[in-house]
Amino acid sequence: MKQKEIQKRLRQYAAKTADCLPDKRRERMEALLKREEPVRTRGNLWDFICEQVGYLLRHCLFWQIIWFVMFCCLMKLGPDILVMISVLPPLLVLLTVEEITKVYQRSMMEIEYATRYSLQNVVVVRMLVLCAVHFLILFLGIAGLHASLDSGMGCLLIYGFTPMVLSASVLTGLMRYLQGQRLRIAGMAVYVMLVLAVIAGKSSKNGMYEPDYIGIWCVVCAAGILFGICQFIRLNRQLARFEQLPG
Amino acid sequence: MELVLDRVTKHYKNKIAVDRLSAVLKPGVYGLLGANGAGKTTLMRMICGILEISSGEIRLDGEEIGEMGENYRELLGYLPQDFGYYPNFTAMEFMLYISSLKGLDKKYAKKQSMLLLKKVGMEQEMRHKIKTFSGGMRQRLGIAQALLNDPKILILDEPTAGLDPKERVRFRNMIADLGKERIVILSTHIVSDIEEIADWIFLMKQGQFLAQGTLEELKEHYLEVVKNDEAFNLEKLYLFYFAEGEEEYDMV
Repeated sequence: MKQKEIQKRLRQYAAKTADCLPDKRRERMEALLKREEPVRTRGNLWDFICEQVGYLLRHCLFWQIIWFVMFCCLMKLGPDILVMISVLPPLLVLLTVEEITKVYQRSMMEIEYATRYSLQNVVVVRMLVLCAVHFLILFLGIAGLHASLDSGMGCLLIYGFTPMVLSASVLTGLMRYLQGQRLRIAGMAVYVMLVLAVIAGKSSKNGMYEPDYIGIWCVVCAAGILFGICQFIRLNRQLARFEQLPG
Repeated sequence: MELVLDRVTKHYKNKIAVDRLSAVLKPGVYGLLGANGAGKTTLMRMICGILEISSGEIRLDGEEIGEMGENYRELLGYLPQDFGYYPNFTAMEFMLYISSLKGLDKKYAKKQSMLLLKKVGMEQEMRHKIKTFSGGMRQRLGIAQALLNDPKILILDEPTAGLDPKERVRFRNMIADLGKERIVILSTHIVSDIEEIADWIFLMKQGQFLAQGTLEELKEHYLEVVKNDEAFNLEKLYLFYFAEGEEEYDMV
């Protein structure tokens, strides 16, 4: 019998012991954890999320309040309300992005990767929480405005949400390559380009804020959301592996 | 409890950092001794699950650690070689932050943080910002955070760097005590640390174990080769293995 044939036959009969079968894995894991008794005076994932929310509240609330007050004042006093609605929300993203990238200190990452809730969990939870909170703040701001403007609530939300989504998506993409000071500078550059685009878009009386253009706004918003989701997934994949992090 | 390293290998494009290492670790203190670039930190990172293994397996009581995921990390305490910090955190805030990452209950975390900070002699500094700390103080804080979740597997990479002699003795006593019921893996250049507390010593070079055993076993082997040298110590053994062929380190 040829060597290859023998090896092929031997491989066919290779069988794991009963202990290694996947369906027994859960029982073995439970037995192991019961034996080793890890410190179980701990909360669950929900407690971890609440901790992160608490952290963000302590560090971001000040800037969020400042932004909200500025938003309300400029809506009352500002020259062009529709431009303000589009230009201000990305500023909120920029002011608070540092709380996500703060964890990107490579010297800390080793410790953070070796904990139960790794760096990946921290960044993802913080991003999702800030997303939800910023949308809520924007919604409240625009709800307050709606009564004094001709445009419908939906239109105003689109005018505010679209630039916010675009800037957040671009920053999420940039986070894979830049952190700290460099990300802040890149974020400022993105913001300035967005402001210029909005001002250019409102060249005539209402420009891109005419009702005929609302379809384009919706398409851009949807594209921004899709782009943001892709960048988020890629960032999440990068965070899953310590070796892939920029050093 | 048994941690098995089964032909663990880590290779990068042009280099094999860790080359088919195998070992069985049970509760006790394991010293990892080797020159710079031997692969000690890479091995420790793989044991912590931070770096992906190129081939081979690391199993805890038969379970592959990658598949265990967060259940494995729950049992782990790690102090890396280059210990970073968030400069504006106080020592207590830092401990509480790490506690939240380790998934510890808030009340327990607070109590345990205070206890550990006292244990490492940082009680007075717990409300001070880390950026004001000396290197030794940061190192002690690093040791404290590694012990927060009462880990069953403790990985310490150069833990005594920057500590004064008094602190090093305190640390040794702490580790010797911890090693009774835990697997403690200690990597250091300070030979005397390993000599005093390690139950088992691994000598590592170019990604491989050159030798391993208790201090007595290594001494026997050394004396077989270098005959009639009564004044044996681990430093001589280290030089014997790692300074071969280098004239300035010739044994006197």
